[in-house]
Amino acid sequence: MKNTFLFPAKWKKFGYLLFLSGLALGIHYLIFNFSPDLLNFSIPLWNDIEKILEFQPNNLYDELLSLLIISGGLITGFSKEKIEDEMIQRIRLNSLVWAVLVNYLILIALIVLLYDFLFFDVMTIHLFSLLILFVIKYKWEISKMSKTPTDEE
Amino acid sequence: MKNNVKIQRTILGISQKELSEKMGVSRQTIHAIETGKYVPSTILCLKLGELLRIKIEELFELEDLDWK
Repeated sequence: MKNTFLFPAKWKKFGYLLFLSGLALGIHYLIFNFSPDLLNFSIPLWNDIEKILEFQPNNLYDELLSLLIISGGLITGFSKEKIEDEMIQRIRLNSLVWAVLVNYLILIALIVLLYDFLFFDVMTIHLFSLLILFVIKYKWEISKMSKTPTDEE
Repeated sequence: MKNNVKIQRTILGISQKELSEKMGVSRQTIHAIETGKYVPSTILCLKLGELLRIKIEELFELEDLDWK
């Protein structure tokens, strides 16, 4: 059954580069709230129902980091493996199911425990948590699988 | 589900690597099938039967747990 869309295997390294750099810079951004001035632009924004696409100043650093994490995570998690067989597809599917369940368990806990602006702050991290959980779980399972002994051992 | 993949493979003198290359799967998949950690699809079962020159019913055996 070969009807699943996946990125080519050679894209995986590029995906790792985007994902890990996005994550590292994202953590740095969260801790230090650093935004480089060269990314200050006046762009058409839609943040008010009465002012559609009005030009306003905005720093695009956080948007750039979000795109890095999302695009990198998607490419890393959904690229073909060197040998793409049905067992790999099963591992990928199981990892995705696990990530969805864990992600929403975390969300349930956050909804119950956090309120007001702290909740919204944490929700920005939750935008990426599903993808992050999936990539970690998937790569962990692949790593475990690759350590199986040969028939001579 | 039990299987005799490793036994048949050994009788024919085929390594896991050789079998995996002929079947178009990873060596780890062959290992997982032999150790019962992975149940292959119908297509893989048929390929195994053909490559190991044995009927599928003699290669794989249902256990009581499979009926639950």
